Amino acid sequence: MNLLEVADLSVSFPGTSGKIPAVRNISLSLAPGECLAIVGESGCGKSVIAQAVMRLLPNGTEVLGNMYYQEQDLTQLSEREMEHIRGEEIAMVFQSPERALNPVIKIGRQLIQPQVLHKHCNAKDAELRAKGVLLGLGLDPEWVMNAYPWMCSGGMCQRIVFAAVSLLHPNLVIADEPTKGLDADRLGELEAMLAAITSGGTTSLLLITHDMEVAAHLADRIVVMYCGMIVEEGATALLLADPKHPYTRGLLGSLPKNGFVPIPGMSPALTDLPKGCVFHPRCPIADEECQNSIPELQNGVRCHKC
Amino acid sequence: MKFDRRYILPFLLIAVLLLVALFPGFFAPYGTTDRDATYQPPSSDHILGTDNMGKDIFSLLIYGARWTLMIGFASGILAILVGTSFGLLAGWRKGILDEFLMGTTDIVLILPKIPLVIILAAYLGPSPWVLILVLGLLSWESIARVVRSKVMQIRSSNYILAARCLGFSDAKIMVREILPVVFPVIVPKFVLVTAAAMISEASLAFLGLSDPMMVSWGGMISDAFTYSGFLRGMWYWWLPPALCIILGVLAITSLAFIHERGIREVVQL
Repeated sequence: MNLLEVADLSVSFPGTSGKIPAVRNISLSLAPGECLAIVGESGCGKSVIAQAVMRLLPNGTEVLGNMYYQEQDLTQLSEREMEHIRGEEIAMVFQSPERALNPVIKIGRQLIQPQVLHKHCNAKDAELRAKGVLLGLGLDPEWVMNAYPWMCSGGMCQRIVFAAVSLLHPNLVIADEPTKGLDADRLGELEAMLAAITSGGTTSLLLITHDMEVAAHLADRIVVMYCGMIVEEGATALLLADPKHPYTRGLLGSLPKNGFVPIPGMSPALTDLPKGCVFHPRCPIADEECQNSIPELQNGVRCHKC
Repeated sequence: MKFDRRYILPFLLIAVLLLVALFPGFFAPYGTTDRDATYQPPSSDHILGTDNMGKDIFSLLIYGARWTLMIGFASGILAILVGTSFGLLAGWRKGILDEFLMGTTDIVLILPKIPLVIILAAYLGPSPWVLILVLGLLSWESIARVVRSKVMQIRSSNYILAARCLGFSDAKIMVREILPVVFPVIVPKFVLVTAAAMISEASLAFLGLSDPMMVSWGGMISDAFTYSGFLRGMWYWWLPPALCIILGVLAITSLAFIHERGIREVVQL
């Protein structure tokens, strides 16, 4: 049984001139203990998927399709039921952890409150458990519990955010661009913490990133998105060794270690998507067929030419 | 944070005022209904003399603290409660509720306060409770506006999103996450509203619009003015209540100023 099953998800936002399709017909599945990476450039809709799963999208957003978490349809749950799911079952970490902690509340309280909210234990036990986790992450528990977030460095905040999430033992952690703007030191530390999430074999990780390298290190499977659609998906090793879709090849080719060759052109505005295959204006192998008909996702690739 | 020595003087003043207001019978040598010969100058029997009714002015001064402070703090608390909840709700919910609450705020904002109190006092009869209600319910608009803009500024911040992702409900986020951030903005507002209410009470009493049975500092000045205390040169009748009002307002406002400066210093660190 899959932990998370996203079936035919389409999300569109209301725009001044008609609907803006941010995500189109996405289907994903995530097994317990698995790490799935969604890779793509800014604006391809990868974060929208995370927000749709957490039901954080603003009112007025059109969400079609179904999302099953442990066979519960997340789209049908009430806000109150979602509050139970959030944090307890599905947790989310964002980029810039120093901004994910309330600056005027002591860290101790921020680690204790979520545990008490989800009735894991009383405040006293919650404090002990929080201290234990902080110690495990190499922080001085006494000092950190009484400190404010602005007294901590970015790296410390990162660990504190992970402590807050892991104290609730969620079954699924969604990491939304966790590596944006990190230096090499912190990147390594973050990768280790993310890897630790799935190491137990029960917690799954949905990693949303633009960084192919991070995805390569952590993910069991990779989904490549472009303009709100999945263009290629497959097991990490296979996909990296033998990328089929020209966009995936372009992404890999633009990595510094692979020669830094950028993909020509820019990704189109979602309000003005090209006809046919969305990638054809930038594709080196596109022909007439690509300009006229949208390819289907076949054997993990959405391309007429592969 | 270590204790700021600048707090000592205003704290001491407010502590004395509160103590006197809470236990006037302990400090006052006479009751508010005890009468002696009228218009006596200060003497060992009556430290500040007696008024036109033969009441001991020093005792009146002590009993007056009660209503003056009561009106100040009660209207301050009322204004804070209404203003903060309006601001929080409007800023967090946005949409129609925001339009409605801010429309209400704008209407209250343009109401001239003192004339309205005068009219209400004329119709409802002078009573300290009417005064508290009116002063409190007409002083919250600026608090609501400030709180709302602060909430709008932080509602989209990452830590609010993170709190939602940890499963906190809207109500819990408003109370546990947003209120502590807004709190430093509310404190000086509370103090200013309280001080303004004390002054309003004094001015209304001076205009003769407060309850004549209610002993307050403003009422004492008004009595001194009406019953020839000024003409007879009885400065010991009107000067002490005036000084008390000034000291009380100064103590409260200086607390707010010191508090704010303290925050600024911490932030600069």
